[in-house]
Amino acid sequence: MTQAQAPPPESVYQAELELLQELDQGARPVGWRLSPASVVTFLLGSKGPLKGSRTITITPKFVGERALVERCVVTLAGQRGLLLVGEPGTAKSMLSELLAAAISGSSQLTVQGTAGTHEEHLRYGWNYALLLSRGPSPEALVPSPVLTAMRSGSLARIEELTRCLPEVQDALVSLLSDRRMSVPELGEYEYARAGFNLIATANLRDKGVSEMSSALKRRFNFEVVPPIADRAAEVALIQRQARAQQADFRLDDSILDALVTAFRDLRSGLSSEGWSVEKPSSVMSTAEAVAVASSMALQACYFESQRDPLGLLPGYLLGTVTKDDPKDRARLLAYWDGPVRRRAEQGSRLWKRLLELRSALEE
Amino acid sequence: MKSLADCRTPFLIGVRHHSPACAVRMGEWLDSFGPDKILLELPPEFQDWLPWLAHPQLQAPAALAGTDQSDQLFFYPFADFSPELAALRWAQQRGIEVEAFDLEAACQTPPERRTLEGGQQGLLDQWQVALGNQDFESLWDERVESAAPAAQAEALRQAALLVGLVQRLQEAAEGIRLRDLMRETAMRKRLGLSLGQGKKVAVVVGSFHACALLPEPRLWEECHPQGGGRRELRTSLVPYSFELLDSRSGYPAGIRDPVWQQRIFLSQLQIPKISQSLSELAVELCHHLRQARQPAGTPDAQESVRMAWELAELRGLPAPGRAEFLQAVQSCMAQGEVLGRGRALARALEKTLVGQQRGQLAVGTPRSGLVPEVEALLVRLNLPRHSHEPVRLDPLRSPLDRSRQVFLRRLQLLGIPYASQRDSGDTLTQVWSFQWTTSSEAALELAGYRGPSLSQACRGALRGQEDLLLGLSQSAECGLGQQVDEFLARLMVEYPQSARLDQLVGGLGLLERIANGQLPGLPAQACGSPELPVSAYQLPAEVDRQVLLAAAVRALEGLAGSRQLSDVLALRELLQLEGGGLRLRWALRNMSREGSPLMQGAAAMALSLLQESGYRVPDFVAGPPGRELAERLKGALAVGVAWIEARPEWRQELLQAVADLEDEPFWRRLASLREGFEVLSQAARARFLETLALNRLDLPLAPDHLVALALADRAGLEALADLPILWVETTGEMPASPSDVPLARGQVSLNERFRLILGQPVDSQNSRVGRAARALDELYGRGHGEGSRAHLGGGAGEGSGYAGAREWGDELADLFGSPVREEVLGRAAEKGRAAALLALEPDSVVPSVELLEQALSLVGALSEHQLGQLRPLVARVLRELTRELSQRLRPALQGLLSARPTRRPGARLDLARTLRANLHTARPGGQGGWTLAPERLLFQTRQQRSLDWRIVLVVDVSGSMEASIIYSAITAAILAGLPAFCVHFLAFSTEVIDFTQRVSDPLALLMEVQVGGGTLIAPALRYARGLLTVPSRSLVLLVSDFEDGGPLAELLAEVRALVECGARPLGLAALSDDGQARFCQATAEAVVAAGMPVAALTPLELARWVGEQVRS
Repeated sequence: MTQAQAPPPESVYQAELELLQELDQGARPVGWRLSPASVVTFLLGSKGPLKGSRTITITPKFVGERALVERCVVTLAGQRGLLLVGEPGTAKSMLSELLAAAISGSSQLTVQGTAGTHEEHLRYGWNYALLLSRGPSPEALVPSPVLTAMRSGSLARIEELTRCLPEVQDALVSLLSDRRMSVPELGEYEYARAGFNLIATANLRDKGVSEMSSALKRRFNFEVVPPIADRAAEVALIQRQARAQQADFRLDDSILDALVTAFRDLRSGLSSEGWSVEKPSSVMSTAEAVAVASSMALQACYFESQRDPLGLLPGYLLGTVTKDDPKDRARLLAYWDGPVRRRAEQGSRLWKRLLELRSALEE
Repeated sequence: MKSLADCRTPFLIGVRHHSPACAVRMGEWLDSFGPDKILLELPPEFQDWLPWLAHPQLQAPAALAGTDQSDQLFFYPFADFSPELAALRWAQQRGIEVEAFDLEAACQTPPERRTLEGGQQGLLDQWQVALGNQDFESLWDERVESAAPAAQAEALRQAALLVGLVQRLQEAAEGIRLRDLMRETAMRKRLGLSLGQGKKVAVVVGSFHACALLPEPRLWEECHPQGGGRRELRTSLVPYSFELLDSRSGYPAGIRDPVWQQRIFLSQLQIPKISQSLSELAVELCHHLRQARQPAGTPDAQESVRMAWELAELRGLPAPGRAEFLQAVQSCMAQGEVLGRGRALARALEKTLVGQQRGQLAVGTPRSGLVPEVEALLVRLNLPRHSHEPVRLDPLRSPLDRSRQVFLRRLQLLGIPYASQRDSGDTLTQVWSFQWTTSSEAALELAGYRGPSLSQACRGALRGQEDLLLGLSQSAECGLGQQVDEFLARLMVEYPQSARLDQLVGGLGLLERIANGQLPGLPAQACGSPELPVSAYQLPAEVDRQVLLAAAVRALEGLAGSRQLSDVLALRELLQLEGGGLRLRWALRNMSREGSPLMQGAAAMALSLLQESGYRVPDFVAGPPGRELAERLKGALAVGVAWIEARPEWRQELLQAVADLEDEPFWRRLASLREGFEVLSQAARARFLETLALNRLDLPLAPDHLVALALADRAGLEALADLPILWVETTGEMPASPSDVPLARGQVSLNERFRLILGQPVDSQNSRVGRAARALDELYGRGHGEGSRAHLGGGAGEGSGYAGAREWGDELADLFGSPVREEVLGRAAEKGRAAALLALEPDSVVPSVELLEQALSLVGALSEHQLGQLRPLVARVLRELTRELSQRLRPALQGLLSARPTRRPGARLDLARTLRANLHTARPGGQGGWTLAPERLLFQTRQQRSLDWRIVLVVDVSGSMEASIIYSAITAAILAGLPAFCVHFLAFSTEVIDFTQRVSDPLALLMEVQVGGGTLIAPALRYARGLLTVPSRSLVLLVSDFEDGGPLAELLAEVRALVECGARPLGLAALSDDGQARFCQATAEAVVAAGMPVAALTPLELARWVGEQVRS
C-alpha cells in the first residue's frame, strides 16, 4: 500500500484511529468501532494533543461546519442511508471515505457508479463456471461490496449514485428499508448485521445524471456539502495543479488573479464587489480554470508572438463559456458591460486592458 | 460571577426577553427569594399599563408600544414565554408591587460607544476558551434554553447571568453603548430609592445589565443623559399575534418560531412532555407537507425525531433544542433540494412553528393605539371631516401640505375610506376631497391590528405587498424611508432575476425620482409641519442602477417576438438610459434579424441611432406591402420619430424613398404606410408633415404676404443678434430648400402622398386621392392622442362615412386591391367594428391565423345573434387551418399510429406479416390449396398498452397569446385524434379551466375561451400535476409568455415538483408558424434552470418533439 498514489485513510491515519479507539469511553452503536463523538473528533481534529499509549494531536481532515459532520454521523447510526450532495470538487468523496474509515475501519467497500453499473454491482453476481457446473449454490454467488458490508456489518460507499440508471438505483430501495437482500435463486435471505449502512455521493445538478426516484430519496437523509468559500485557497489550488501538469508553468500573478476573479464571478453570479453577474449555463469549475491557466502559459511560452498572455484571456473565457448555449455569449458580453467596465472605470489597469480587448468577444 | 449570583440587594434575575426556560422558572426563583418589590426593565412611561398587562383575562401575546412625534417606535411584545410577563403575573397574584425602572424612553440618547477603563481582556479570553467563541443568541440557546430541562432552578439563574456577563465582557472590549450606560445609571438610581426604603427587591433585567446593578458595579461607569430633547411619548397596549411576533415578520423585538417557544413553555421543561411536543410537531409538519402534495409520512417524522434526540445526545444536551429539531428535519425531509421540496418544507415549517395565535386584552382596558392617533392628527393637521369644496394641496412648497399629503397617502394605503384624490390638472399640486363616515372608523379599527401607530400600521400593510414597484412607490409616497430601503433591497435582488423590461424601466424611473427628491414623501431635507414631520431620505449606496440596467438589457432578448407597442416604448426608454453596451448591440442585432416585424423595425431604428451602419429605416418603404410593412414602420417610428425629424439626411432619405415609388406600388402600400404612421398622435403627424417642409411647394402665397413674412423674419434675426448670449445655429437644421425635395414619380405628388400617409387634410385634383383619403379615414377617424380632439386636423378626406361595411369593403377593394381590403377590414374588426368582419363572405376569404385572431377577439363583445353570423367564418377558417396543419403534422407522428410488430410471443398473431415473412416455405397442399410451414412468427404489440401517453396542454390565455392559443387548440385536436394519446387542455389566467371535454372540437373550445386577466402559472401546473397518473409517460406542455404574476419561487417549486415526479415538461414561449416569441426572459431562464426546457416552436416542431419523446 505504501506504493499507492492515494492510500486509503484508514492506513494513512492508522495511528490516530488506534489512539481514539483506545481512549474512547462513549457508548458505541452496535457494530461501530468508535463512538459518535470520537468520529466527529477524528474528522475535525482535537483541540490539543490526546494522551494515551502515545500522545498524538488529531489533525483536522475535513474543513467545514461542525454541525454538518455531526448530522452525518447521527444519520449513519440510524435506519436511513446518508446521501452527500453538492457541486463537483467539494470533497464529498473524501468525507465519505473518512466516515467509513472511522466507523467501520475500512473505506474500501465501494461501488463506483457509472451509467454502465449493473444491478449485480449493487446486489450480487455469479461465478458462471460454478453456476453452470453445480447450479446455484452459496459458493457460486459473488457478493457485491454492498452485500459484503451487510454480512460484516460495516459501511458501504456508493460513489456518484445518480450516474447509475434509475432501474439500477432502485435495487437499493428495498435493501435500505428491509435491511436484507433476497437471493431467490437460493431461496434465502441475506440479513444485514448491525452496523451496516450506506453512504452515497451524488451530483444533483450536473448534466448526464439520472433523476432519483422519490422512493429512493425517502430512504436517504440528504446533506449538502458547500463549495470552497475561500478565494485565496482557490488561487493556491489552481497554481499547484497547473504546476503539477506543467513543470515550467509561468503566468503572471495578476493575470492568474484576473482569471480566478472572472471564473468565481461567473460561477457564483456575484462579483467580488457584490455586483450581480448573470451566470452562464456552462460549468465554470476550478478544473476549467486550471485548464485555461495552463493553456495560456503554454501558448505564451512556446509562441513568441504571444508576448502578452493577457490578450489571450477573453478568447479563452469565450471558449470556456460558450459550449452548449449560444446565449452564453450574451452573458459574457454582459459581464464585460458590467463588472469589467466598472473595474476599469475604477482605475484598475489590468481591467482597463481587458476592456480594450473586448473586440475579441464580438462575432 | 459569584458576586452576581450571591447578591441579595437586589436579587438579580438575568433574562432574555423571550425565554421559555426563564419564564417557567421565574415563579420558583421569586418564591425562593420572596421579594416585596420587583423592578422590571421597562421604561416608566409604561407603568400605568402594567396592571392591564398582568390582568388574568389578558391572553398573550400582547405588546406595549410607544411612539414619539418623530415616529420612533418603542416596542415590547410579550408572550406567555416572556420572563417579564411571568414575573408580572406572579406579582399580580400575590399583590406585590412592580415598578418599571428603566430610563424614560423619551430621553434622547446618543448612538456612540464608550470604551471603559481597565477592560478585562484576560477574563474574556478565558471564558471564550471555556465556552467556545459564539455569539450571544447561540450561547444563550446552548447554555440556558437547551440546558434548562436538566438544570436546577438556581443553576439556571446562574447560567443566565453568566451568559449575560460574557456578552458584557465582549462588548466592553469594543465599547459599551452610551445608551446602555445611561439606562443603567437610571436603573441604579431607582433601585437605590427602593433599597433605601428598606424593601426586599428582586430585579428582572436583561442579563447583560446585571453586573451594572451590583452594589459595587462592574464594567460600568456613570453616565447621564444630556439635558433637553425630552420627547412626548404616546403609549399603548395592543393585542398581538404570533405571526408578527416571529422575528422574520419584520416587526421589532420578536423571536423565531413562537410556537416552538410556546410548546417548551407549556411543557414546563419536563422531558417527557418535550418529547411529546417534539413528536407532535414532527407529525404536524408531515401533515403540512402532504397538503402541499409532497410525500411525507410516519417514517419521516420518526426518523427526524430520532435524529433530533441523537444530535442532542452527541452535543451533550438533556433534550433537543430548536436547532437540533430544525437540523434533523432538514436532513430527513428536504432531500437536498432548495426549490421544490425544500421550499415546500420551509412553508410547512412556517405553518407549524410560527402559528397564528392571537392575543386579546382584558375587558375594560383603556383604548389606545391607532384610532386615537388618527383622530388627533385629523384635528392637528386641520383637515376637515367633510369638505364641500375640494382642497388643493401644494406639498412641494408648503410644509403643512406636505405633512397632510403624507398623512392622506397613509390613510389610503390602509384602505380607510376618507380622502379621495382628483385630477388636479398639473403635476405639482394635488386636489383632494374628504368624507369621514362610520365605515372610515370601522376600517381604522381593523387596521389597528397591523400596528399600534399610523406609521407602524402602514408598515404592516406594506409587508404583504408582493408587487415590488407598487410597494416601493407606496412606501415612498407615505414617507416610510425604512420601508423604501426594504423594498429597494428586495427589488435589487428579485428584479434582476425575474422582472420584465417595462418593470425594470419603471423601476429605474422611480429610482431617479427618489434620488432627486421629487416625491413629497421622501424629501432630500427633513421638512413638513411639526405635527407630522417628514424625514429626509438618502438613497442607500448599495442601490445600483447598473444592475437593473444590465437586467433590462437581458430582458430585451425575450421581446424579440413581441407584437405589443408597449414593448417598443420600453425599448425606447431603455435606449435613453443605456449608453449602448456590447450586449445591447448584440441583442438588437439579433432582434433586427429574427424578431417580429414590429421589433425588427424598432431594433433597426435603435441600431441606426447607435451609429451602427447598415440599418436604414427609410428603406422599409420599398419593402413588400402588407401587415409586415406597417408593423416594421410602427416599431421604427415609435422608437425614433424625434430623431427622424431632427436629422435632415434621414428626412431626405424618407422623402426620396416615397418619391421613388410609382403610382401603383404606392397605392398598394398606402394602407400599410398609414397604419404605420398611425402610431403617432394626430398632432405629431401634423408636426412631422411640417418638418418635411413640403408645404411651400404646393401652397401658393400672395406676394405681399411673402414680403411681410420675409420682413418679420429679418426683424426677428436682428433682435436676436442684439442678445449676446444667444447663438443661433443656422446650418443643417433649416428646413430643406425646395430644390432639395425630390419629385415623385407618377401622377400623385409627393405632398399628396405624404398627406395621405400622415392622414392630413388633402386637397387634390386627383379624385382617387380624395376617395382613398375618405376610405382610410373610415378606419382611422381623427387619430388618437394629442390633437385628435382639435378641429384643425383630423383626417385626410372629407365627407360622411359609408352606408355600410359592405360598400366600404367594395371601395377598398376597388382602390387598393382585395388583399388590402382584408387587411383593413380585419384591422377595423380589431378596433371593435364587428360589422367589418361580418361583411366578409366566409368562402371568399383567404384563411389565415391573423383573420382568425381578429374574429376571435370579437367573441366576447358580440351578441348571440352576431355570434351566429360570425360562426361560419370562424368555422371555415379553422377547418382550413386544421386540415392544412394535420397534413403537415402527420409525417412527424407516423409510426405512433399503428401497432408495432414484434417477434416476442405476445397476445395477437400478426397474421399478414407472418404470412409475408414465411412465403418461401409455401408448398402445394392437398385439395388444390397451399400449405405454409412458418418459421418466424410475428406478433403485434398491444398498441393501447404501450402508447397510452398523456399530453397536458396548459395554455396561458392572459392576454397577448392569441396566435398561440389558436395553434394550441388545433394541435390539441389533431393529437387527440390519434388513438395513442389522451389529451387534456387547460386554459388559465389567474384561474384554471379544464377544457378537456372540448378538446376534439377546436371551434367550440376557442369560442369559449375568455382571453384576459392576470397570469398565475403555478396553480395551473399544480392542477396539471394532479391529472398525471403515470408521470413518466406524460408530457406537460406549458404555453405561456412567462409573465407570471405570482412569486417566482412558487413557480419554480411547481416546475421542480413536476420534474421530480418524472413527467416531461416543455415550456412553449410561443406556438405559432413564425416561431417568434415574446416572453419574460428572466423568468423563462429560471424555469429552464429548474428543469423545464423552454422554446418557441412551430406546430410541426412540436409534433416532432412529441414523436421523439414517445419513441425514446
